[in-house]
Amino acid sequence: MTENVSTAGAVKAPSAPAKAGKGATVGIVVSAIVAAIGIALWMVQLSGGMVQTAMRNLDSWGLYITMFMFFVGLSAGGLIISSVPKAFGIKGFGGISKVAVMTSIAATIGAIAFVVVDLGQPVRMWELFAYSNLGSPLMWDIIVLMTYLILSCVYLWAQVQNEKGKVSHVALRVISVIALVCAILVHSVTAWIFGLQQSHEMWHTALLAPWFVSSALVCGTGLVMCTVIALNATGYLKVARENLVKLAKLLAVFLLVDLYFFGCDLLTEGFPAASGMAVVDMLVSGPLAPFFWGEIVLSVVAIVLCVVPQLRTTPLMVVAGICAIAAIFCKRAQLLVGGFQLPNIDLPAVMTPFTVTNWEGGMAQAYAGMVYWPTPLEFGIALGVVALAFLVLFLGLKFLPLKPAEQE
Amino acid sequence: MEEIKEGKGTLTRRGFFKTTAAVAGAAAAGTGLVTMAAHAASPTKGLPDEQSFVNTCRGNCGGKCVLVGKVREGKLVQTRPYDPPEGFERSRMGCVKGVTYPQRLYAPNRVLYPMIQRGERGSDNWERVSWDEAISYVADKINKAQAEYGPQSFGLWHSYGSEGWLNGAYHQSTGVGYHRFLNTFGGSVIIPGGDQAQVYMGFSVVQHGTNSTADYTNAKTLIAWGANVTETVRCSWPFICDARDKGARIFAVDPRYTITASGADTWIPVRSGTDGALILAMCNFIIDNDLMDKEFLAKKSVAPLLIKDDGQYLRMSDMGVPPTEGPLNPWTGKPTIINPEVVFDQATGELTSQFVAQDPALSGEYEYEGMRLRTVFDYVHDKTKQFTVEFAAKECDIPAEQIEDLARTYATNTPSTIVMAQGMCHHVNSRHNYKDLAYLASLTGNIDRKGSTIYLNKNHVNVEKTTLVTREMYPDPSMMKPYTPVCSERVPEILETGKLGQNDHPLKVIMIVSANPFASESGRQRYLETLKYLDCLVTVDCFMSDTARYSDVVLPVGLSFEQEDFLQISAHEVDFLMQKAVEPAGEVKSDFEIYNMLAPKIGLDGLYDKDAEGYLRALLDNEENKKIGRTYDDFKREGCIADWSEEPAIGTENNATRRVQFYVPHIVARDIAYTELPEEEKIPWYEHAMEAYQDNPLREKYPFFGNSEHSNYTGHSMYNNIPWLHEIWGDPYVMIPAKAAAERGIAENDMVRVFNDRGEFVARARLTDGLRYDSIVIPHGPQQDAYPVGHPQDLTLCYSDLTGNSSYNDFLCEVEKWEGGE
Amino acid sequence: MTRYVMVIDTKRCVGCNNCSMTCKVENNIPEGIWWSRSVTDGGEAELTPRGDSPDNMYMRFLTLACQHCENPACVKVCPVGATYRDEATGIVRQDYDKCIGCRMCMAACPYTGVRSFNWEEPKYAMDFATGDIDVPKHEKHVVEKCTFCYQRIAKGEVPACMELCPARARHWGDLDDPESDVSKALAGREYAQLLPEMGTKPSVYYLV
Repeated sequence: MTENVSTAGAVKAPSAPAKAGKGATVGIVVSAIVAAIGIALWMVQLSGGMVQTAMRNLDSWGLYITMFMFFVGLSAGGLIISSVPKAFGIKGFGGISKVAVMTSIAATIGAIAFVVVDLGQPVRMWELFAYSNLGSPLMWDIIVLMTYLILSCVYLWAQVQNEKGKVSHVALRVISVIALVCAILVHSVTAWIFGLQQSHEMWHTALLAPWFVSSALVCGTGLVMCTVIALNATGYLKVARENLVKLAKLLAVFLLVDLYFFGCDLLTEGFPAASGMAVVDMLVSGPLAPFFWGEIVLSVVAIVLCVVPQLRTTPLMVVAGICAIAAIFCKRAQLLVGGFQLPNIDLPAVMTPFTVTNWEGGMAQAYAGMVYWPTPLEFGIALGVVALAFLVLFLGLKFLPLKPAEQE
Repeated sequence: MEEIKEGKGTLTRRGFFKTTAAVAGAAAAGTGLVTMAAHAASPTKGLPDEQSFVNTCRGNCGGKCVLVGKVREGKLVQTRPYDPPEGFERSRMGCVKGVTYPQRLYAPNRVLYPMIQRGERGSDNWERVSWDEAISYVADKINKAQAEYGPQSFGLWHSYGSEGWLNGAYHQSTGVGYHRFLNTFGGSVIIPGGDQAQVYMGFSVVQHGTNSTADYTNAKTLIAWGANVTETVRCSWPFICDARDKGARIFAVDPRYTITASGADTWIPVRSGTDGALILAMCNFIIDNDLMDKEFLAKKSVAPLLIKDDGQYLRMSDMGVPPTEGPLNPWTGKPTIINPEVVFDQATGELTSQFVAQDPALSGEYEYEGMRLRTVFDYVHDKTKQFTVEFAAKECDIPAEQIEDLARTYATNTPSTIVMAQGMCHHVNSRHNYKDLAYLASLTGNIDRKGSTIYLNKNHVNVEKTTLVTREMYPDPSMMKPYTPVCSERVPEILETGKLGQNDHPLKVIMIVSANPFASESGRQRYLETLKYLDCLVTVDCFMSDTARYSDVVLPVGLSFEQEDFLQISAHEVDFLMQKAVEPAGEVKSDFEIYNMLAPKIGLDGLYDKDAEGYLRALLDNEENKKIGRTYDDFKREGCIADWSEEPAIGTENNATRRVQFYVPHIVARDIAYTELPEEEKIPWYEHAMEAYQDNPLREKYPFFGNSEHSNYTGHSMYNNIPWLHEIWGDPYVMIPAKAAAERGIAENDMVRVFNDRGEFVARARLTDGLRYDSIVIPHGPQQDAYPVGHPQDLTLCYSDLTGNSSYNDFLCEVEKWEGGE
Repeated sequence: MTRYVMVIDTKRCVGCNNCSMTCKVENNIPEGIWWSRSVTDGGEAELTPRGDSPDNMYMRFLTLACQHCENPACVKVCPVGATYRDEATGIVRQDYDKCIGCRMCMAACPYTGVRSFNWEEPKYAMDFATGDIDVPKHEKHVVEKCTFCYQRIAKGEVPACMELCPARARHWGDLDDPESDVSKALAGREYAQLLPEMGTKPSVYYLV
C-alpha cells in the first residue's frame, strides 16, 4: 500500500501553502498520535497473532472488513456529491467540491488500510500484483480502489488547476464523469465481494451493488454535510445555508432510496417464507436486531430532520448527518455479521478455540447471540485506521488549497 | 512453494501417475498369508531414517489392535493400525485412541523415576529416589509385614491395564514376570471387579460357546443388548452392517439412544438393571406361545437333564455305572472324569446317559430308587414363570407389546444373535443375566448355530495359531506356594476388619500393577477411606494416575512401544511381536524387570532363570512353531504374522455337560468370602438391583438411575491427558434427559453437581432426548483432575457379589446446577 | 483424466472421528485445527439424537472436510491463486507460501468450517513433527485445509483417513475409472452431495 501513500503525498507537493488553522494542527497532531498507536497495536496483532482478534474460522471477517465497507461508502459519497453537479453541468452545493473530494481521498485511504490490517500476511501484498487472479472480486476491488484513489487525487488536482485556469472546464467535466463512473464502480465491486458469494444467504443478492451505491450516497452526503458545517463553523469556508439545505434534502432522498432497497430486500427474503426467513428473523428479532432497528430509527430521525423545514437548523443538520452515517454503519455491521450468523452447516462437531468466537458452549450457544463481537485490540487498530484517515483529511485541509477560490 | 519441497522429486506429474499405477498392480497380487516384512525394522518409502515397528496400544479394550509405529530421529511420530490385506477390510483394527499413541508416549504426566511419597497420601509431595532405594523400601515393607502378619499380608493387585506374555498381568492368563511372582510369594492376589459378572458367569460358570464376529452376517435378528458396539467393539460393526444390508432386523436394548441404536431398527429403552426381567419375560412368552425349538432344547441344552431333590444332577454313577477318565485338563494336568448326567429317553422309555439317549424328555416326573427326579426344564420353568411379560413391562418400563415383539422376532425370525458387551454387567443383580441368556438361547436354539450366538468379541477362532509353551509362565514346582485370591471389591472390608469372610486376613502391604482401581473400580470413596489401615501402598504405573497419587511409592513402568513382548490377539487373531521402537523414557523399566529386581529382595531368589528374550524364545521356539514359521526369529523379522480369514466360526459347548448350561448346580463363588450359595444362584433368575430399582424409597431423594458409559474417546482411565483427544472430546460431561434438565434449570454446558449419600462430582451437562427420563449417564475414564469437584466413582457402590463384580451402574443420584467455582 | 473422489457411507459411519484423528496426526496439524471432523446430524449437541419418542429418534453422522469441488468457490475468489485446483487430479490445493491471509476463500466456501486459518503461530503438544515427513510446514496467518493427503497420493497411497475407517464407510478412487472402488460404491446406491444448490460440484459423495 506504500504506493498509495506516496500517491497521496504527491498531491501535497504542488499544493500552495494554505493558512494553517490552529484546529487543523491540533487535529493533525492528535490523529497522528492515535494512528501511531494504531500501528503499534497492528504490530502487536501481527507478532502475537490474529488470535488476539475475535475473528475465527466460522466468522472469519470482523470489524476491519465492516469498516472497510463503511469507509468505501464514505469515500464515494463525497466524490459523487462533488462530481455529479460538474458532470451534469448543474449548479452545485457551493464551494464544497474540493473538501468533498478530500474526504473521499481520506476515506479511501482508510478503506485500503482496513484491508491491510485484516491481512494475515501483509508483507506478501506484492503478490497481489505479481500473481493477480483477475477473476477474484477482491482483485477487482483492489484495482478499482487504486484507480479510484488516483482518480480522486487527479480530480482534486484538476479542480485546483481549474481554479488557476490551467485546466479547462471541459477537461474537468470529463474527469468528473470518469470519477463518477469509478465511484459507482467502486461501490458495486465492493458489494460484489459479498454479493457474488452463493455461500451466504444474506449476501447473495443482485440488489447488493445498487444498494451499496445508495448507502454510500447516504453516508457520504452525511459526512460532507458534517464536514462542511464544521469547516463553516471554524471559518475555513463559508457555505450558504441554501446549499446546506440542498444537501439535507438530498440526504433525505438518498435515505429513502436506501430504505426502499432494504424493504425490497426484506420482502424478497421473507416472502417465500423459506430459508430467507432466517435472515429476516435474525434482523428483526434475532441477534442483529439492535443494528437493524438502530438503522431504521436513525434513518427515520435523519429523514425527519432533513425534510421538516423547522428542524433544519445547523446543529440538527449535524445530528441528521451523524444519524445517517451511524445508520449506514449499522447496515454494514448487519451485513458482515449477518453473513456469518447463518452458517450453512450448523451441525455440532469438534469445537476448538479457533472454530468460532464463542466456542466453549458449542454451536448452538455460539450463534445464540451475535456470533462475533470485536476485541479491544480490534477496536484499537480500527481507531488507529480511522485516525489515519482523519490525519490525511487534516493534512489536506491544512496544506492543500481546498478553500473555494472565491466565495460563491 | 509447493506442498512438497523441490528435490525429493515425488510430486512431479509424471511420478504421480507412475506410482499410482505401480501400486494398483501390486495390490491385486497380495492375498493369503500376509506378513509385515516391509515394516519390520526396515526403511519405509519415506526418508531412509524412518523405521516402522509393530506393537499395540495396550488400551485394555479387548481389541489389542496391531499398531504400526513410525520412528523418525528416535521419536515415535505416528501410530497407525495395521491394515489388513485386500479382501479383509472388515477385519480392520484401530480406533481414534490408538492413533494418538505418540502423545501418550510423550505425555507430560508420565512417571519417569521411582518416587516416594513424603507427605500424606494424595498430597502430591513426591521425592525422586533411585531404583535401589525404591525397591529396598518396598521390599523392607513387604518383609516386615510378612514377618509380623504372615504371607497373606502382602497383596499383589492387578487389573487389565497391560498385556503381553512377558510383561502382562492377567490373572491365570498372560505375563511371565507376573505369574512366576504370584505363584511364588504365597500371599494375597487381589483380582479385579470390572466386568466380572460377565467374565466369571459367562466364561467360567455357564461356559457357553461363542461364534466369531464374522458370523453376525448370518443372523436375521440381531439384538445389541447393553452393547454400544460402535464405540466399544468397533470391529463387529462392519459385520452387523453387512447383516443389515441383507435385511436383518436390529434391536438396541439400552437406556440410552446410543450410536449403535441409531443404526438399529428398534430402540428399546429399558430401565437399567432390569435386563434379567426382560430376558425371563421373553422366555415365558416363548414357552407360553409355543415358539420353542424343542429339539434343540432337548438335544443341546441341559433342559432334559434330571435333577434330584438336592438340585444335583442324577449321574450314571448314581445308577451304578462307574466314571471313566477323559483327556488331560491343560490347567491341572490331570485327566478329566467322565460321569454322564442322566435323562429320560422317550425312545426307549428308560433312564439313560445323556450321551446315549435318542429322544430326551423335556418334562415329566421320574423316580429312581426312591429318589424323586425332575427335568431341569420343569424345575427352571416352574421357578421362573413368575417373571411374566406384564411383570417385565412394569419392571423395565417398556410396553408389553414391545417385549412380545422382541420375543417373537427373536424366536421366529431366526437365526438370532444377541450382541452383548458389558452393558448389562454393571449391577449387583447382573450375575443372573448370563444364566438367563443361556436359557433364552436354549429355548429358541439361538446358540452354537450359524447366525446364532449370545456374545461378541471373538473374531476368527478357526485360524491357525502360534503355539505357546505356557509352562514357562510358572516357576519350578518346588518353588510354588498357593496364594489367596481376593476380590477387589472386598478389599476395603478386609482392611477395615482384618477378615476375609470368617477368616483372619490382615492385609498390610499392597502392590498394584497394571491397574488403576481408584479411578476404575466402583466404590472409590470406600477404597480411599480404608487406605489408612494399610502400611504401604506401591503402584507400578506409567502415569501419575488416581491410584498412583494415593500411593506411598510409585515405580515407573514402560509403555508398549518401549519394550519387547509378544501378544496373541483375541479380537483380531493376529499374532505379533511387540517390537521395541524407542528407548524408554526417563528411568522407566518393564514390568518384567521390576519383578526381577524385587524378587531376590523378598526371598524369592532364582525366580527368573532367563532374560526377557530368553523367555520369549522359550515360549515360541517349539517344534510346532518351527513347522509353520512362527518362532521368535520369525516374529522378530516379520513383526506380525496372520493367517487372514473372515469365515464365520461357530461355537460349541466345551463344558462338562457338553450342553448349553442355564442351570449350574455346582456354582462356586469367585469371591471366596461366599461359602454357601442359595438356590437362586443356580438357576436363571431375576432380582432387582441393590440400589438402582424403581421402588427404592431412596428415589424420592435421588430419582436418577446412574449409568456410566465407555466412550469412544476413553480407554477406561488409560487415555487421559492426550491433547488431541481432549480437543476432540473436551471435558467430561454428564448426559441428562433434556426434560429433566429443564425441570432443574440446567442448560447445555452448565456445570452440574451429581451426588448421592456416598459422594459427588461436578462436570458439564450435555442434554439429550435420547435417554430415559429417569436415567443419567456419567463419564468413565477421565481421572480426578478432570473434575472441579469429586470423582464419578465416588457415587458408586463398593459391594462384592459372588463374582466380585464392580457394580458401576447400581446407584441412584440427583443432579443440580453447580453454583461453585465462579 | 483422473478425478479423485471420496465416497462416504452415512449408514455405516458411526462418527468415531478415527479419520479426523488420523488426518490430524498424518498432517501434523497444529493444536485447535481439524481438517476433517465428524458432525452429528441429530440433536443440538454432539452425539445426541433428535426426536420426541423412542420410535422417532434420529441421529446420523457426516464426516466433513474440504469437498474438493469441481467448481470451487474458493479458487475463484483467491486474489493471488494460492488456492487452486490441480487439474490432473481434481484436488483443490492450497499454497501456504503464497497465501496472503485475506480469508476470502473462507468466506466464499459454502461448506462451513472446512477451511481454517492459523490464527497464531502453529502450536504443538510435542516438539517434533508427527506423521508424514513430506507434509508441508504449517504457517501462521495462512489458510489451510484438507489436501486429500496429496503427499500420500503422490506416493501411490490413499488419503490417511481412507484406509483406517473401522466401519468401512469410506471409499476412495478415480471416478473416471468405472472399475474403481468409488465407482462401484456409487453404483446402485442412493447418494447425496453437500449443498448441491451451491453449484460447486463437490468431489465427496455421501451414500444415504
